[in-house]
Amino acid sequence: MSRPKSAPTSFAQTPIAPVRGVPNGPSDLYASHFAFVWRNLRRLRVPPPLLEDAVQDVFLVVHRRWHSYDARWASIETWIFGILFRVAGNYRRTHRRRLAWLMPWRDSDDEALHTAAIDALAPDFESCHKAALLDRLLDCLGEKKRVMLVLVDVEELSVPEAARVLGLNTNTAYFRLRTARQEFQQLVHRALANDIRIVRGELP
Amino acid sequence: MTNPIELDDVATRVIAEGRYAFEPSELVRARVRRAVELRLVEGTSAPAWRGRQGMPGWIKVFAGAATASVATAALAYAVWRPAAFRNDTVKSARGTAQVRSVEAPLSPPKGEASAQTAQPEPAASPAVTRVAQHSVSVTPPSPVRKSETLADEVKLLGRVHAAIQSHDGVQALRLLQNYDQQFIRPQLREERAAAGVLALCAAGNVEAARRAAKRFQSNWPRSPLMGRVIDSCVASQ
Repeated sequence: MSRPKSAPTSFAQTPIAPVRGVPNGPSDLYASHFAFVWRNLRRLRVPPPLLEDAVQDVFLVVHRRWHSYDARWASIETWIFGILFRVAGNYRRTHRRRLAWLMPWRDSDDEALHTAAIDALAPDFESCHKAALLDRLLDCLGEKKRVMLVLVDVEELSVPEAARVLGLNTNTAYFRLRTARQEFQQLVHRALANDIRIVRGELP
Repeated sequence: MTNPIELDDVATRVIAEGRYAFEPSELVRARVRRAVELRLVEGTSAPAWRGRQGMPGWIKVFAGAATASVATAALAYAVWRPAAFRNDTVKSARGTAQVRSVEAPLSPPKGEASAQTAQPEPAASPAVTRVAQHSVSVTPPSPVRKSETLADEVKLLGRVHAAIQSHDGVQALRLLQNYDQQFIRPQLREERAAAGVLALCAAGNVEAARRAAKRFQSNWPRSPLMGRVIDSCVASQ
């Protein structure tokens, strides 16, 4: 089964491809994969004030475990994502309640907040802030679907690689990707519909 | 095996446009790298801000932040200082976020922690006003002492943290008040503001500490000290 390609050919601005390959050591990883760690921690909902601390933790673990990395077993992205996935989980669990006084915490299981989040997406759809749309849509997905979509469609890892990161059976990973894409597509079209209604003056 | 559906063009476009939308700045990269190197040298496994080890953890964070300040101060000093000085002299309402943070110290005097920290200091001569109202001071106040160095600031903030560690919130607030009087254009404003939150916690004034923490968050949302502030008494238990 071929891995889906996510970048359409019609795009004028093709994003820079993520760095692939085997670095010589953990210090090289810092230069090549800092942005990878940063954006994925962010997409895994580490609170912004704690993002830098979480990145620090990831790279400390990378340094400590570098000797155990085997390039034959997994790509470097897969290996790092496995680390940052667990670090992000720790941060979310530890600080969810503690940060309540500081910032609203969007809960994807809350239907009212979910609806409000989608409605709030519409004005951004064709504006200069549309780059933020992806993260906001991902916020509306459940945890498991979001991670799968981030791994396969955003970071362009293969499904077997994603399954390995998440400790899933490959079939389960494919099923989860399918449901994640279905839901994501619905969210996108819902946001688009809201945008059209706003342009028509049907929504404030 | 379940065949995953392909995303349509619109959804694909959304992903392509957002994939690299929020990359970290060079400043953030440098700051985090410095912190990682520091923690590797120190052999710290847990994040220093979590403060489970008390004073040593805080010192590590503080040392990192101080190092960062020294590095950036050399570049920013020539541009920033004259601007801040003009704003400080004019005391007009057009103050920028930088000036506001200078003019809104977090530490209240003894017995008035809540009321003082709830509101920014008045615009006119804050140091002089405080001296007139409160006789408590560790060293005689001097409005402008250009000879004060970063080392002096570090030293005084070190005493503040020593007081916080010994749960002497009143002494910590007093030292911070002294800090505000002594350094009218401090280089460690961020560290001082974080210490203000912790001092208020040590003094048992949780509400004032929370207000101070919110100000800290709005002024320095990406501060490396943010975790330490969040982990103080201001956290919801």
